[in-house]
Amino acid sequence: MLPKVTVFFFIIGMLVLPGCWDMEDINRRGIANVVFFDTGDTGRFKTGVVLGTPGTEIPPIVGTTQQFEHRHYVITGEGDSMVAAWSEVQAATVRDIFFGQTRVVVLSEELAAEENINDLLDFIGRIPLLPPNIHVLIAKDEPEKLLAMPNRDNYTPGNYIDFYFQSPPIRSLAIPMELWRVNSVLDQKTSDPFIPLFEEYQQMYRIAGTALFNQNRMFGELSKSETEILALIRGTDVGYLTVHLGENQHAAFGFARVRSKTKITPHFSPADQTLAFNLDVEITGGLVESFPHREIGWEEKQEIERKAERMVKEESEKLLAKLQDLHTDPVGFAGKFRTAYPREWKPSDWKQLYSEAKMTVTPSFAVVHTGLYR
Amino acid sequence: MLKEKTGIGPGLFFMVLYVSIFGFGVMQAPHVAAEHMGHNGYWGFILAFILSIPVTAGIAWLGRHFPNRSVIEYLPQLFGVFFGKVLGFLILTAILVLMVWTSRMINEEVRLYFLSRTPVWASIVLFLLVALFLAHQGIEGITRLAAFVFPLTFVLSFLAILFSLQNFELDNIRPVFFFENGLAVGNGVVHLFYPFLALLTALMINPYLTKKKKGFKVMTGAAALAFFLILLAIVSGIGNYGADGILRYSYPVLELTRKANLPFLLQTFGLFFGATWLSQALVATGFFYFLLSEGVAQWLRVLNYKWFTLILFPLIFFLIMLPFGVIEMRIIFPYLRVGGFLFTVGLVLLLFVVAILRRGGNPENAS
Repeated sequence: MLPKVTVFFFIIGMLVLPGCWDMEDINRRGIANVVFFDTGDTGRFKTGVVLGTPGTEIPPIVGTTQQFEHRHYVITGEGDSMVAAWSEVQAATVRDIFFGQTRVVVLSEELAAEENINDLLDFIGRIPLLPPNIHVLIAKDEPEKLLAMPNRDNYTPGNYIDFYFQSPPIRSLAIPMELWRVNSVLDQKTSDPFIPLFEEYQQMYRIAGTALFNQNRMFGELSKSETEILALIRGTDVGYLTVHLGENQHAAFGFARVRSKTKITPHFSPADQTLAFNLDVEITGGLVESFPHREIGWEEKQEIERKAERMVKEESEKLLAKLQDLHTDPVGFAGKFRTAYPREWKPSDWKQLYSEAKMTVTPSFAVVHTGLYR
Repeated sequence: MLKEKTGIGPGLFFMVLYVSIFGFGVMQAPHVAAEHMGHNGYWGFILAFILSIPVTAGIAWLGRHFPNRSVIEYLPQLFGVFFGKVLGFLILTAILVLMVWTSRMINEEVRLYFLSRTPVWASIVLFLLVALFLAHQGIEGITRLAAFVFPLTFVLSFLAILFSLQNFELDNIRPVFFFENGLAVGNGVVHLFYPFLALLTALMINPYLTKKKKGFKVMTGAAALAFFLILLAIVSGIGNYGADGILRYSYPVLELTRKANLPFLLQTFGLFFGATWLSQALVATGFFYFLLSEGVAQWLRVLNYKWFTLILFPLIFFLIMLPFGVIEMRIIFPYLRVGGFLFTVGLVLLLFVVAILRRGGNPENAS
């Protein structure tokens, strides 16, 4: 009986073999490189997608003629819901839009300030196969124009941005916020999201600062220098830092490969409901510039480190005061407080406690090398 | 009634049990842990494992006392024919429900991630046909398949879960020793016991075991290995997303491994994990299908398990198709967890007590 039964079920199985319904010709697949959202003119939302131009979806190779004028194009749609806007996008192309290779989700500044980011990312986040570790960015300029621009590095925008975030020399400028991390921060409520801002610069993209969020809406932004300090406080593995010598702005020391590790300790007094945070920031860096040039001996090292520590302390405390004023917590102080004082942790009281918390930054800076020169 | 003459050694038993516990238990574990116990939800699973040890000991003891019979066969001796049959029916129903729920969830997952346009009935038919084929091969074929898939699936799923720790934040799983109250802990233990429901299968597979005296060690070993991997998945899930963050996801462990990557080398571990988990879940489903078919044959005392693999096919297919969608499955799940815990612990305790009181069984024949 067994062979007959096996053959019978094998034939039945072949008839209903799944996969036939999902067959898709690769040429008909439009690989979404970037998905962006903006406020619409005719509808509440405008959404768009960056698709690779067929035949150009191979990386540029230096020394060959493989440089295309238009490696990508943009399709947009508008509607009163994300899905309505999206259906306009899909209706505008014969290719089935595929999200499995999407690298970046971009929101416009205007939309991020007007709408709840949790709702904005809900549509894109529910799409199966969308990589969870794609970057979320806020565009300083209009996303459609920004993403339609052919960049000089000749990458599709999503690839450009993905490589940018993985490039060590600029990591302290561009603290990555992936989609899963934004969702995690929003769900946990023990910190506020912060999302890199990007802009056009000499027909390329670069990080313009950091967008700050309060209660799921964009509420302010940090400049590039403030972003570097935020990266230092949060703990970074690579970065640059310039320390000026007192009043003389022309005399400065520059550091590369700056690494930091921060220990945040909360102190809470239940009696008078006062909260204080001590931030012990351990920073190391290699000296790559001494302006004016001089040999770095023991005394110079001590002096440089003292000045760097003072600068980090001043800048950090200034930044933290700004964050407190904006009632936004990108560093994650709430998480530290919840962990140390789980019984006292009440999300509803946090904003008040945080805005009045005393912040003390205690940096220690160590010069680990001086490059090729002594 | 046809009965397989084969015997399975401790190694094969270990692997089929591990595959069942892991395959059926891993996917939702971080969600359940975070839902019931929050940031330190891993404690619920640790305590559930500790609780599974006496249950395993009870099952092993019963196996030694009724060495050549399955639970369906010796129930009438312990409880009389009527109550024995009723209890036997309940055990078969429990195995059926567990198999049906898991099969539907597996197919929902396949539909979401891989075959979005394929109707769910088509993927279920194929899934069940493969399970039927496995069940039709009998216990030896299933356990040998489990042994075949075990090394690769274990290594790959371990690596995928290990690499998913890459964005782990210690604060997300702290404070370690802070509990809201004892009730929350108890609740967490009950709900997180569900991966160990697969231990019930040992009551059915018992007659085939060649070395019953090693039963406890083998079962505890298989449960411990599955426990280790599932615990790692829970810790990684909560450590990555936070307790509140992981509640967002329909299939948290798959999301966790999809996120895990090796920059410039491997975009995601999700596919590795998905393939290995599906292989294990499919073997486990075939195993459950076999036990169910053989259990029904023993319960009715007619035909044999091969016939019942065919006879039960439409019923199982109908039951898997019964829930409309994934939301219904989610609503059923907590009842399944609590009911499964009460039934498993209660049944083993009841069998143990009644077997002692009635001095049932024949431990002399245990090898």
